[in-house]
Amino acid sequence: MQGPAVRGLGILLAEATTDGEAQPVWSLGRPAPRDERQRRASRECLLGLAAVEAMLDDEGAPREAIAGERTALVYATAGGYAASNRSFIEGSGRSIHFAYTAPAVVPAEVAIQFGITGPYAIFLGGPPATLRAIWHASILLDSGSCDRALVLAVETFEECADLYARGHRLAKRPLVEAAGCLWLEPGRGDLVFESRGASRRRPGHARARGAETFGCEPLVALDQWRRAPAPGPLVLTGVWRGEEARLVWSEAPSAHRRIAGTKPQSTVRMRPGIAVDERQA
Amino acid sequence: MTRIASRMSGVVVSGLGIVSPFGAGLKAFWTGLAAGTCAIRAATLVETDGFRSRIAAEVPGEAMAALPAARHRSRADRMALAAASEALADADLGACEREAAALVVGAVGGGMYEGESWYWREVRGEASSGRTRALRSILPFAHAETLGFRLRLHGPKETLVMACASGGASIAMGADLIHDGAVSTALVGGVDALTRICFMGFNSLRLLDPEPCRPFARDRRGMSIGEAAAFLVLEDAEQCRARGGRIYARLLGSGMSTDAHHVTAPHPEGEGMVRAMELALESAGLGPSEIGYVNAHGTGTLQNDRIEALALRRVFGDGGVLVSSTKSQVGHTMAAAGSVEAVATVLALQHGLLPPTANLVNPDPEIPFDCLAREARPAAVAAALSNSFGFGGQNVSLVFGRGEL
Repeated sequence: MQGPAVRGLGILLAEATTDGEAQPVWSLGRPAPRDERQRRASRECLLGLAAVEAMLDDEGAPREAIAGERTALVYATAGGYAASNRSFIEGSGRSIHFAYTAPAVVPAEVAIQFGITGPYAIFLGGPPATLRAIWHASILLDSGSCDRALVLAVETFEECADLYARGHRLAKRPLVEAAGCLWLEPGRGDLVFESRGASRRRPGHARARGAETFGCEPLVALDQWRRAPAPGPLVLTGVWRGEEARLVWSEAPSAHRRIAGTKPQSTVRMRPGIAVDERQA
Repeated sequence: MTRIASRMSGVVVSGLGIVSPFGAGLKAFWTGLAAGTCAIRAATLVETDGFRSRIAAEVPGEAMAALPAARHRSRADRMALAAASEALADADLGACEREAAALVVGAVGGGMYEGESWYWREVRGEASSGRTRALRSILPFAHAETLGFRLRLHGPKETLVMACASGGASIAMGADLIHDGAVSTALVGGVDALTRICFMGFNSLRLLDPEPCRPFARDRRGMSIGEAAAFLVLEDAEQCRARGGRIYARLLGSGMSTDAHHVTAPHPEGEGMVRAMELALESAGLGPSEIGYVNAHGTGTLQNDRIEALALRRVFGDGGVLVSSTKSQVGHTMAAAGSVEAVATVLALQHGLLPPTANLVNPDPEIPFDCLAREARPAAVAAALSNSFGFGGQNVSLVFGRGEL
């Protein structure tokens, strides 16, 4: 299948420091709502909206550029809805909050705010789910179902830090909140998706995993790849609960590279759990 | 009749499996459906004190007890495992086809039924067992992990969480994987078990009918919550024919859209619903007049039924198609609903018998369709459409055609 080109990428990443081992969760905080409607939206929804804004800033494109039926929206998350479920249960079920217990509400808010009415899908899981989301977006582009596809991922941890601490096997490393949005368009070369059970040891793959960003990991890795002096062909790898997935671009997917002059959304001093093949790392 | 080659003409349904409020298995489901039975009764699984509704469509206790034991698996996992196993056995796949099959699961609640108990017991300090296994099974993608491991499926595994459209979306996604050549076989479906959070939520929105739901009725007052797991085996048609597999139906087309309107309410003119149905018809290469039956989303809420009827009018014209709601019999099974209703639609095509809308005594005069009140109707329909809509304005429509065409 034809590999998609990266047109824009917005990443929000919680600032984590190298002594982060002592702090289990690094929060992105709550973006300021823009209007009354957004005031009642959950934090993950606001982060999703902010990630799309960051992507538009990266590309220097207006909001109208992604509106309409020819834009696909594909969302991925592993735990981006846990906080809303908890607050709904503990708040004894106020109607205004129920909708936000559904993971689907994050892309729904994005679709509403930016007027996106094209193909739509939501994948659940860690990095492999986000790689699938990119693959699915690529299929939609390849089949002509859309002209552009956005891949959105949001992960929040702060509100459920105590639960994650109890389930330590789910998250052995510090949890770093992140949100990202990737703008894909038809590109050149080939894209291959592979999925299999994760091998325990993968010789030749140096995976310095300092922290976890769950489903945002591939987008964070892609952002780091774009910042390399001369990024070449890209392999993104994601491992999650016994499953490994890989996306292999035969050619560099950055058709519109505008890294120079853009600012990262936060200073990353601790290397997050990236998944870039060592050839690019 | 003009017939255009369907985009998905090469995808067939070769296996079905279901655990529903009628019990475990396809036979129990079809028997209940064809008889017009309503399986909505007093809720026993969740505490309903103070709620507007105290009824639900639960999988019967004896049916759950008869399912194969599975240690440390959630109620939803056990239902999914039984339904998926039945579908695979029904399809009688060879070892190679089975191992390479994709797995696409529509889910929302995951193991929340057990997770809620764990939460109140452990976090609120009512008791402490020190066990965190419930955390592992609480997440909706645990279903795909369980099914993949227990059924030895080594193909792609995907979990879709598209609210009440999840089950329908899993079918559309699985068909796409076959159509795009990624796999030749896919096990697709949805699962959701009853949870207190679901009751709390829909109760707070005042969307629950205190009596069994009455979709398309003038006096309808809301929905009834149900639980189920339903899976279909989708196969490349040539592969299925070559191995002598049974073809229940052909999946002719699918359409997915989003409203971009409101997080809970559908677009007032049914824009997204219309677009999903039109996309499904277009990909099937069929015109509206070639669809003989619509298995509606039909929740029984004032707003959904009114707007879905409006969307149906826009696509099919007044009275242009026979319509019924399976939710009147098995409740709204959330993430499973789309796949439960797809199974109902496929069986209706196969048996030439359209399942009714139970509890429909006073049809809403503003819904200009024959909604098959209370009794199943024999009809040799060539093609049928199944609708699923969800929170966030997600719309999925599927078009099935009779297997022998």
